[in-house]
Amino acid sequence: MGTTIVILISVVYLLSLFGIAYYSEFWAKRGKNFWQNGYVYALSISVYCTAWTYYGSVGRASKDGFLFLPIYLGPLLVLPFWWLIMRKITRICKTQGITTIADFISARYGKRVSLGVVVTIFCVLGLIPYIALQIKAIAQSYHLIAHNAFALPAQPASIWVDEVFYIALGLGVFTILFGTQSIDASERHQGLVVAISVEAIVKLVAFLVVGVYVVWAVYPALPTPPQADFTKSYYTTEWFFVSLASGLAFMFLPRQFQVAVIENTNEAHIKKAMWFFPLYLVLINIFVLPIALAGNVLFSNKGITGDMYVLLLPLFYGQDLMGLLVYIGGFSAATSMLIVEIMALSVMVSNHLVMPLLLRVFKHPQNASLGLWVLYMRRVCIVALLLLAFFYFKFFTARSSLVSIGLISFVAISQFSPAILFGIFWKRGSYWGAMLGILTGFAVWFYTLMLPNLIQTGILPATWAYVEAQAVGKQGLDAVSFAFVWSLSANVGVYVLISLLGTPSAKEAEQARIFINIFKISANPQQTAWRKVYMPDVQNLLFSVLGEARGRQVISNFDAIHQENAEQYQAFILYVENTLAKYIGSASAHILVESISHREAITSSQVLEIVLESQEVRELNEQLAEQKAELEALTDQLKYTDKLKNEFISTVTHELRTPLTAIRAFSEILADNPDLEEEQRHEFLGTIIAETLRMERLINQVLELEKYESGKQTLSFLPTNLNTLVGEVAKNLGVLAREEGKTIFVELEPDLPTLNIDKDRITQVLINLLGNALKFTPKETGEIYLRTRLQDDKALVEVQDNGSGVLPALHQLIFEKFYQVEDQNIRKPKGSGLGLAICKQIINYHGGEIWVESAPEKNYTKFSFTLCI
Amino acid sequence: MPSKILIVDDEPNIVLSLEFLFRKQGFEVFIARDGAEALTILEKQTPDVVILDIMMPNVDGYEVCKQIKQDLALPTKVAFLTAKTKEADVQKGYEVGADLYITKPFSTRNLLKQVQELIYEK
Repeated sequence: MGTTIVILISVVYLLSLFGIAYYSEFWAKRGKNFWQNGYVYALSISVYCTAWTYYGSVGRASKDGFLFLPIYLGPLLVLPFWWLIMRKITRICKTQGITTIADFISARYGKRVSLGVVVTIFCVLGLIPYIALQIKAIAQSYHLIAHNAFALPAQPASIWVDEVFYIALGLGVFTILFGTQSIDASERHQGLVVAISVEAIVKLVAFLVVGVYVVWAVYPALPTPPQADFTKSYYTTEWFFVSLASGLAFMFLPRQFQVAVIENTNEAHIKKAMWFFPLYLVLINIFVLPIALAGNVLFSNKGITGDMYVLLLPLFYGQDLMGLLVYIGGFSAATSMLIVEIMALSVMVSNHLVMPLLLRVFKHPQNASLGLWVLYMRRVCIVALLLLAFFYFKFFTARSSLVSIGLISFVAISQFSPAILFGIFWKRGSYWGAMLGILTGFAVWFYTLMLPNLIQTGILPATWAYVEAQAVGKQGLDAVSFAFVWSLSANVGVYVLISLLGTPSAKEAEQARIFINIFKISANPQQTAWRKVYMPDVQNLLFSVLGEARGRQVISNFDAIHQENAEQYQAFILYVENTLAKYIGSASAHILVESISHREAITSSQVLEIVLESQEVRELNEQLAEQKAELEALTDQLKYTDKLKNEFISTVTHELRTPLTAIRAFSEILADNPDLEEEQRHEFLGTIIAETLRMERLINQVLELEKYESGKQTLSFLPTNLNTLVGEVAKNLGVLAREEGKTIFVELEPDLPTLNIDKDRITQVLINLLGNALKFTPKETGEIYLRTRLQDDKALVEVQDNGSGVLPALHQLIFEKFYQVEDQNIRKPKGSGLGLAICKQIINYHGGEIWVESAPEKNYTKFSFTLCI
Repeated sequence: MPSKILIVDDEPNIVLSLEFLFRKQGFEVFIARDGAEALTILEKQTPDVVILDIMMPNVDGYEVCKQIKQDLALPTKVAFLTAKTKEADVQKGYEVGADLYITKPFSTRNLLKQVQELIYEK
């Protein structure tokens, strides 16, 4: 078949793919997303089935029989867990604006640039051979179909006359067209996904056609019956470990991450893919063994590698058209992988390697148009990566089979799985754990797998042979299993150990919290790191990265939500950061936003936690201290009250004892002396009655005071003439005074208005004060003055006497209930101690005051109380 | 010769009852309304027994007892008759030299019996 035809068909095929992509995006922009469904999503995941699957499976099967299967068993084994793992990862990426696997790991461990750099470098190192492999497959199939060459030319042709070089460049252009229309790396590449789905169908159909042809047309015509006898020894453990490595690679290969996570438009699609994709895998593998067996019969003794059996068989039987179909199928498998992988890697390289450098150069990003830079950067990266892969192919991969290089990449990629899987479920996983784990894993990977491979393929000199001897075939494992087991266990061991030893930084802890609790957080987004950002800065930043139109759009998007409240404001900053992350990666976005944000000592969750905790503790302490102080005060008061109460009870019982003593004594006298004279008996009985009344009065007073103190006493305030009241009391007690030769002088204020008072209670007060005055004034010379006056809009009542007086120290105390002079043995003047206490209560109830002024040495005492007018 | 007894109390009704009781027993009864009055009487009389209240105006019962036992060094027996029932008060009463400490309210028969015993002790 002519070179021109093959190239023409290749170009036409690519163009028609682009047409489909363009067409679907054209409709997508008009809101017709009929391509957005679970089947397209599941088909796009088949970028997993590369040229390695398409050609390499048969190659492997021709040598090792069923051993080609673990690579597909892996995905089948992990798919049931997708709902648990991939849905979580997808949600995290959407919430955080994450666009690549490097971004994901970097974001999980505190958005540190360094981790993104390491992951990116290892991705490139691990994947360039794998991409080269695809180029090799394209080259081999091209040479076979165009030049009928069973092997690639032994001496590499000059690049400028190598058709494969131009095919690679064409793919680069195609990737640029598909992948970098917009700088928003998280924007769905709808057209690309549809194109990949079409390619998925093409490669499947082509493979099935060959399979059917081989089984039903070639088999009957075979010279000898195919031998299903694979006597070559292989390790059974290989099944397990290669499956595991494949399962991990199936999730975390950059291209898989791209189609499964970044291009996911609906989490429900994951569910569809979980059953639909296994079906695809079964179909594309079903004819592998028959084709390999037939190929072995026909070509094994001709020194032809099994990798090309698929294409060779139809060509061998002169089925050129079918050969072309097979070529296109293989071309589909290779290009779909190549385009997506390169695109994902270019985003990684530009975001994690170039952007941080760029940000260092442009310290004031608003001065440069960062957005355009991002776009150019990514395009340059695509071309650079493709060229790198091409040269790798050109100079290094000629001698290795498709499968071995693929597995080396798988083991490399699986080094990211501890950081990712632990990262989304284990809070303690730390930056240093991830960093050192990945570095260790890759070191072991390089030593046990990459290095021996480089030696085997002659890239490194044979002086390295001892390394190979050291590494390969130990523990009865095959090279891949051995490398996988050791690299991954070292990786996990270091990760867990270092994580357990260290304490995560504030930002890490914050991100860990978000990643692990993503479903809670994405349902109820909240920002805990409080940052202060000035709007002009935000605007400049957005304009420089996104361009003015898109920047305004972002701001206006958020303007719809009010910014006045602090939480909304923080959410806005987070929104800006996550929006930027979609374009330039989360670490770079974080750096940019941090560069314009002014946070004092406040940083993220740790501080927040500390603040919250210490706040809580401090508040709690304060509360406790307050409560303690309150309690102490209360205790003191209670103690005081208790002391007063005890004294009160003691005094009351003492006061009750006196009448009780008299009553008992006289009762016993009366009982023991029945022959008492009538007159004396009457006297004693009268005394008993009097003392009983005294007890009753005392008890009533106690109860009355209790009523006042507990606020239960009710008074009836009525308009009353105070002068009249004072006059009556003076008149009533005047009789008693005259008997003792004492004089009561009454001086009344004539202008005293009518007062609103409880007549009976005020009378009680007046009697009490006047009674006291009478008690303490000397007989014959006693003089008592009763006055009413007007003073400061208040009525003032004074009861003045020339009695023995009250010591100044006691002026307050005598109004306490049952006040007894400190020297308890000097008897307090007669009468219960309750009188003045009750007076005070009554006057207080009237809103007035009562006090005493006294100068005992001058025989001057004056009790006064006020009443409101 | 009848025994002499001094009753010191500021409660008239208690004095009245005590006066009746001891008169009936043939005592010669002196009465004081407070401590000061009691001391005045004691300047002239030396009763066999003093019935002494503690809480009184002016001079309290302890002071009177101390005067009797220490300053005046009278052979008079002192019986406190008081409403102060606390242990500390009782102790203080004996410390100042009391021969008897009776709390109010009291049993008339018991009081008479104990006062008789005090006199026999002399």
